[in-house]
Amino acid sequence: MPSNPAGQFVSIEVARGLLQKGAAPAEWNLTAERFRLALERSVAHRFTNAASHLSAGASSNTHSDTPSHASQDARAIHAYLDSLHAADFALACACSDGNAAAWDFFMARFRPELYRAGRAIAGESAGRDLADSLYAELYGLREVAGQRKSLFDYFLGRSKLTTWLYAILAQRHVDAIRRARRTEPLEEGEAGEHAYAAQQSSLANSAASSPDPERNRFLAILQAALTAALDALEARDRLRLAYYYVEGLTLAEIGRLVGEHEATVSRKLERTRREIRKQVEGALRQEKKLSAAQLQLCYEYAREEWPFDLTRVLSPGE
Amino acid sequence: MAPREEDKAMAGLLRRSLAQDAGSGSGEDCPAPEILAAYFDRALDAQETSRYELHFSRCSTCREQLAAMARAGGVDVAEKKTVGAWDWLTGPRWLMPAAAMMVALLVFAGIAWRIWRPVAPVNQIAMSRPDALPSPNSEPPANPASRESSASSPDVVRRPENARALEVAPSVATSASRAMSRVSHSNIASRRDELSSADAASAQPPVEQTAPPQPQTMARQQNSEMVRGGMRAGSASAAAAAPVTTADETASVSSAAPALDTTVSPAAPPTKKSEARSMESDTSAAVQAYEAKESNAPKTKLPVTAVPAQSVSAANLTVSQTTEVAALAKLQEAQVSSNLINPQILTPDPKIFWLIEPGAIGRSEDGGASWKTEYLNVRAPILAGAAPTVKICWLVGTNGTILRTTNGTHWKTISPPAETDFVRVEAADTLTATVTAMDGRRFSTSDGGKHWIIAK
Repeated sequence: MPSNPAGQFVSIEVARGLLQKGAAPAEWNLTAERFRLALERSVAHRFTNAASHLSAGASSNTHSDTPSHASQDARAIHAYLDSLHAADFALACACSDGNAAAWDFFMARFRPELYRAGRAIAGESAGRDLADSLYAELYGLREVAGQRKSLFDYFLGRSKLTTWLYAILAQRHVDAIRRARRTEPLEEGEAGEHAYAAQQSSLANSAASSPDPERNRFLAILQAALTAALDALEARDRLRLAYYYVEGLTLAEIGRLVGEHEATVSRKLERTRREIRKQVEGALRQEKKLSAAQLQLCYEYAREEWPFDLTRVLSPGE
Repeated sequence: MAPREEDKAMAGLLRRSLAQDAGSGSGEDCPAPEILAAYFDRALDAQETSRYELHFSRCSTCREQLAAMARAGGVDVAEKKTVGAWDWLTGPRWLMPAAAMMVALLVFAGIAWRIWRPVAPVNQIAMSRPDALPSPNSEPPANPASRESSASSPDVVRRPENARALEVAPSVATSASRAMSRVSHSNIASRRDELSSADAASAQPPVEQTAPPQPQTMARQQNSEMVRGGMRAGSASAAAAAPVTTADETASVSSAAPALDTTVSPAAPPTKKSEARSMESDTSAAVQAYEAKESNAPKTKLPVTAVPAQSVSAANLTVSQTTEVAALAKLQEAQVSSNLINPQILTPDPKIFWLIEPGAIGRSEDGGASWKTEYLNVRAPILAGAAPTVKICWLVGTNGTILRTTNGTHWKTISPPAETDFVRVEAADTLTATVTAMDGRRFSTSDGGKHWIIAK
């Protein structure tokens, strides 16, 4: 990564220019030097991460070895700085410094949006609490080594501040849900074990009482074929399916996430589903030698709810 | 198993298989919120995007966070779109072209108004069809009976009795469809005669649960309750929903409401009544049983929402749902599978029909042999639909959901008249439709949903 003689990635002129671009009010007391340091941190984070990923793959000295590399990196840094959301970044810097005017501006402009996003994520009742829980962290009530540590320090200007707040809210919300999931079985204790045992016995009973002794075998091989087909998917295809089937997002929301029009999402979802089905049926017919009638039976059995992972339960040796 | 059923099975398999890794993702290698935010804003470069998408496709933690962000950002995006649109219009660069376009639009609107003005109302168009009975006396344009009659022509082919027959013998279904079409118009004619005096004087809302049981109100109340009954008639037969919409009009006015027969001028020719009755008996015994039950039973109607709740428990839908949306999809699946709603929407062409699915709509153009699925951009369950032509279809559902396609492929969300659950839609063409809310209110539009009026 290129740096000027003072070891800086970002010059004070560039910082001043970006500060002007961000139109930070004077009462925020945000100096060009303070903003330059923030920009340095953002550039370092971006290119250090990229360098680590690149070196992990190529283990080569990719940066600053030759003048051409240096000029390429300089262009990349310049493009990166140009892409930053300067106004939001300046606001985050001023808020991180505890400037009252900046905080007033932030509260007036972002608090309603924060509450709305909280409600959209966590529901009407819990949404406000979720949003309120952020303020202390944003202000920096937590101290590290005697210094106030604001959550704004982690904002690097790569996205809009609103989007970053969404991400923080979403992270807090998902963490809370997962914590709750982890603690639930512990609280249930024996009840959970009893439930599992009951589930096992009901499976055994259903297998025993099933009119078709091949039922569970069909289900297991169908699920195995499906898992293999899903594993072979492109990341984006799998992502679309998961957003649609697991997260329950609408086509527009999926399109928003993957950068596609909802009609495209719809078309690609249908194509992926068709390909998966073709692959699964091919595997069942050719590898497992199932007849058409047996394939039909697989689908009929699959329409019923699977209580749990049959592949795991019915794997050889169990 | 029909191909459609196999598709459903595959969809269920996918949902369960993909949900099985819902506990995956330790969070240790997950990108920080600023990366998620940059990904959300499309601010990552191509290399970063593909790298992180690979991670997201395997990490349910990140996917859940991104899904939450997508939900949080939904309205914001829409609001910004609106603001952006105004900026675009008011920008000085576009001021002149915009003004020119406005003038052109005004001229065009003036011409279009002159062209469209002589067009007869939809009910007259419907009655002037070759299979319609000759229109008797003049009728009030705002007559709800006539409005229902105009929209009942697509409903005629919606009856699931025919739908079932279609899968076996389309030709039989076609003849039955024509027969029902005649019945519909005979019903309409008799009902129009019977209600001509009552409707002219009526100014009360169509459904008033607490209103005194005036004959006229009772008749209408029965009508609307029968409509709602159609939605939950699946307990008797999946086929009962659509026939009710045609048969109830006669039943509620002529036989099920004797008080009306004595107070309202009995102008309907007995032959038409008997014809309608005979066709009812021919079409569905289940409908007759339902009608008898409806006419004799006290009017203690359950809201339609109460039924899905039972159906959910009945269908044992207690699988852990991570989102409300997934629950809604399940709910509709349960509704469809338990025949609480009629998933099929027939078109005038007996070989072409639609099928309501959870979050999607299927379309078959060969009598159900093959299907094409279009995923709908709505979370709310779709409860009813109407297809006046093979290409045009209107769908309604909960939470003010109204969708329409004019080309059989692309669905447009129509702005609803109220944020309520819609349980029925009657459509005459791409512009004219009447939707019925769960509380009995009916709204009509004649401009494709841009403006709605309360239908009496």
